[in-house]
Amino acid sequence: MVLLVTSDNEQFNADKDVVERSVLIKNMLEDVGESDQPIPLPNVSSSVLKKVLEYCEHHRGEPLPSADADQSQDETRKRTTDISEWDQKFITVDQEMLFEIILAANYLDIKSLLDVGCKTVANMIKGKTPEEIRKLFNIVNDFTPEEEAQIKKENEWAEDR
Amino acid sequence: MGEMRTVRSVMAVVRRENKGPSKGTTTMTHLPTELWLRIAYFVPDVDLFRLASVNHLFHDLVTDRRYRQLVIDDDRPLHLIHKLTRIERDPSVAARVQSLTIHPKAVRSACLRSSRNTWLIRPGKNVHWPDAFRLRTERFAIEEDIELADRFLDAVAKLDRIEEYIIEWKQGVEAERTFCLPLLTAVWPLHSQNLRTIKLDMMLSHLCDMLSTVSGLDRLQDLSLRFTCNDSRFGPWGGPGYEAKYAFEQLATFMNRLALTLQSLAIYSIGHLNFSWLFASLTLFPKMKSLSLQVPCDPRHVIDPTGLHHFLRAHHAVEHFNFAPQYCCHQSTQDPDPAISHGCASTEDWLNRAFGGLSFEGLESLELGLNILGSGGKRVMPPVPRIGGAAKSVRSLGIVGCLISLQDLKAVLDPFKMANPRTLVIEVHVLDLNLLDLLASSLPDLERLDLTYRWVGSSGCTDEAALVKSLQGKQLSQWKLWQLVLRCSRQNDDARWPCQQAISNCIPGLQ
Repeated sequence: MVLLVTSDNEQFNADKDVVERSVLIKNMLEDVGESDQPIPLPNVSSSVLKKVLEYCEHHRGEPLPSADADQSQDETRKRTTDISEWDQKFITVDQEMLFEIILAANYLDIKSLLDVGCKTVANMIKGKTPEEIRKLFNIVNDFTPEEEAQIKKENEWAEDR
Repeated sequence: MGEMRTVRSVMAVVRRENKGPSKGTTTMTHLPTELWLRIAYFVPDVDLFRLASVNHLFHDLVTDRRYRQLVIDDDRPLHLIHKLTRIERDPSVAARVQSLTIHPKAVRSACLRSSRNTWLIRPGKNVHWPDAFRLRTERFAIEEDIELADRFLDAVAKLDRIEEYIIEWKQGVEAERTFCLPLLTAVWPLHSQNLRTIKLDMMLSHLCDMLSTVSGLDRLQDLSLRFTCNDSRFGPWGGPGYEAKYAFEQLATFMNRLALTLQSLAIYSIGHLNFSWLFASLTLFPKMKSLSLQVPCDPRHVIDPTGLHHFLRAHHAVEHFNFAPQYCCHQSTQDPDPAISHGCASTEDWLNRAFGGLSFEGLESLELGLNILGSGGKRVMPPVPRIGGAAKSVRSLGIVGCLISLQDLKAVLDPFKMANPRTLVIEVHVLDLNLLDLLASSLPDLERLDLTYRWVGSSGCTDEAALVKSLQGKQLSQWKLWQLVLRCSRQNDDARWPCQQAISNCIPGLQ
């Protein structure tokens, strides 16, 4: 068992083969060797770590993607936004939690979870107008009218190619 | 909810000092740029254009992706000029391009369509044109618009971050040669020092002529060569094939220069040639991790297997191996030609000399191709089990091509009993209990199976109760398999659903 301490000082005990889906934790455990020392995770809150561990537990035992998986995979397979049924249910959370899970997956270096989060956001973007995307993510339009006109022109050419 | 309970069972909250949610509220716009880049990566092209109009950050991300790969495949002069202008005027665009794909046929066609005064002599100005071409343009008028070609080379020279270079010139006709080869020759020195990946799809004679002048490439890691030989130089098959010998030696000389850095090599061809010349001339690539050989591999197309044997033996430490012997012609099934057989009296002799004593110890993945042999649907089988026998350890095994009979399946899988693969991707004609039992007994430690089938067998596995009964005494009930993907390649087979359901309920590891 491995002891993890979150940013809000909660402690979690979890199986080694579950937490080792995080490359960050795996490397830390290798560095400290056999030890009961708790592993601090100052960038992850307890509510998010709970979700992350739920994900890791479900995917326990599955092969980890290799470091050069991106290069070896076919471009079209790589871009797919398909998410498995369980992962879809798992990631059906409010926007803030989704965002926190993405940040935690990035920090903990759990590539498959990061991709589930990123694909979910990509799916939210699909089919929306720029204004709808701004509204959805609370984004300010920082273009000048001239820049907007120029971008519109660029896009016309790009769509025409 | 089941999963939630499982999670709770492995993690216990030991001490709770600070209850409540995390501090602060995170909004989407607070994601760091690299994560938005990852998200944009999954957004389809059609939505990217809209995303670019949202704000500066997205515009920048989208521009990065839009220009990362430059493909010159449009033969309309205006479109080519538009792309060149963009590169010329905006250095930030040129700085984003990392991959360049050239279709020489399209560039020549654009230069032909743009050329108006074909009778005027216009010397090529770009310094990278080969001398012979420049001299020709100084003395004679050429059909193509040399000014546009010069401009093309000047613009391509501005792309100083190119790491991947792709040439698509499948069916180059003789008339294209006099323009396209000098053009491609002029592009190489612009980027050869930075290239990490090269993918070339050309006729063998063009490939050899172009590569004979290439230098640099000190950082090249991935090389993919796809070639045909249906040009006049190689003539009809019948003799010892000395034209091919010379071409293959030229090609090998080029490849051998990459030996210190090359990590991945792929060779694809269905050329009717003697590939012995190629294998005999190749050296050791000490860093090679990935090898893909998709060429004819039989006694009539690798007449002397010594070079092939040495090449495979030297690269016994590859981690990813794709071996797909190609069906070239009816000779692919014939025994060695006694007149030129280099001591191989039979196909069995040839197989022993090519594959005997080989050993691959650390394969992460092995993909074996079974190619259709004419209209009868037979497969090029003999070399495939030999590679299976040489693979001492394989994590993931893929068989590409549909296996018709259980006998064939057994022949392919039997050599893997020692290698003990954990993952198998396979396609079969009929799904039935006998098939699954054979898989379970051949590979009892298999953990993941991705199985595509065309029909559910008449012996049937659609009734769960009957299935459980017939499972008694079969290997299937002890199988370690815990992940199963079943796909029916026929969309209208109604039997597939109950069958898949029954199977998944009867393999203990899947529960």
